[in-house]
Amino acid sequence: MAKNGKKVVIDRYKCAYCGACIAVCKFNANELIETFVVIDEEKCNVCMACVKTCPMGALAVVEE
Amino acid sequence: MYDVVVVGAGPAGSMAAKTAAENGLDVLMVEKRQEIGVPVRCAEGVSKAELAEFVEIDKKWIAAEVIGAKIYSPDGSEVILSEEQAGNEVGYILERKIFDRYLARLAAKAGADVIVKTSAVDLIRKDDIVKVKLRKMGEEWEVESKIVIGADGVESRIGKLAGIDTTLKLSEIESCVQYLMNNIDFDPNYTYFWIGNEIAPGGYIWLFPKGENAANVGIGVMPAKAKRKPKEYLDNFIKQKFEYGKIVEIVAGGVPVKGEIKTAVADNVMLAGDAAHHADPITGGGIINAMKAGKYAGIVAAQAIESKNYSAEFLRRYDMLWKNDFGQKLRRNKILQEKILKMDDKTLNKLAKSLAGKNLGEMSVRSIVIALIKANPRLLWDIKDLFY
Repeated sequence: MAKNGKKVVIDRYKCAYCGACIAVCKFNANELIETFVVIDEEKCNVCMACVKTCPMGALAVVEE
Repeated sequence: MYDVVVVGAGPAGSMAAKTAAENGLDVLMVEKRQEIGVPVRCAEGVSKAELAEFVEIDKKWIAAEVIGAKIYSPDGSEVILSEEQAGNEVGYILERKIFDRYLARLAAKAGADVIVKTSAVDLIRKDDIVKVKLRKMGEEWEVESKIVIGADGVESRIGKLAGIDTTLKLSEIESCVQYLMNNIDFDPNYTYFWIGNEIAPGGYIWLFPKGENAANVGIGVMPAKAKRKPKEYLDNFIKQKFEYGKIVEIVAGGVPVKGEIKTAVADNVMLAGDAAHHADPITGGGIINAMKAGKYAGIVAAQAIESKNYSAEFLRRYDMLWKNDFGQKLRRNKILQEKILKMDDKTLNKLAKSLAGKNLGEMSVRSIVIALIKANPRLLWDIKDLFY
């Protein structure tokens, strides 16, 4: 998928493991494992939905 | 082989597991967290009368009782909804950490197996049953079940695995942060709501009492409308209102405000609670609807086992039950929400002023809207039929 060398990263110090990011991901590219959010970079389309939704500001897009 | 695997041990899951087990089914309830009920994602408010329909009230999980609500528009105009005097408490603020465990224990007592720290990671339909792939502490295994009830919250995997599209758009979710605050001053007989496009775009700020000088103070904003993170809006508000409050807990969450979904069933699968977007689009409240849905899912599971029919077609009776109960209210409040989202702060102030000084009595969305329609017939004419 066209991601222009970008990816979504998570700041674990900010994450409150609430699952809001998973609820808005239409690519099934993330999962909340108890208190641990994992992002599947293969599936992620860097659409920003999770970044915009995260209540804590724990998600960001970075250049790879 | 289980009759029912319930995924998620919140109020929806525990009610589903309890009801199914009480009907003689073999039930397994799995919870991905190591502790049921923690961390909460919720302001913990619930209607007293509605809760009493499900469980005997136990003071152990009641943190506070309230007689009404105070709502503030952007310019501070106050609208009060309350019983005339104390002693007529209409709402409870729960201690969800204890409440959720209590419900899970009721499910266990009724005969359901419960395992925690375990995720359901895949569903494989085979003939007319389902293999549920579970993962606990890195180890994976499968259990077979006739029915799966997905009560796995706003981030529901079960819905997606079963082909029910539960992905929320940025205009269909509230992004929430809440602090449990101490050393703050307020009237503990009331819940409080602050609305406005500046303070909480597409949502509101709340205060729900949790005892003497302690309260859940939180915010929900709609990502499609908000310019900043809910935490920033909330911190801003607290700096002005509760400067000396102490924060003893932080929780976050996403609340589905999409309104009624077309169907919460697929072959062998039913969704309940936040997983089925059962939370109210105006208030964000979801506990009672989740408990109702869980109970209905448990009842329909028993009927399906009895009839040996786990098809989506059969399980539509579950859709019928929850839609007949609260589907109309979800539809109505979605329309109201869309109307309110279009209002600027000036309009919100005008509406609040039109009710200032009156006590509207009953604490409900309907009673506010009816009073608003009476005072501002033209502004709300198009939605009046929904509320009368």
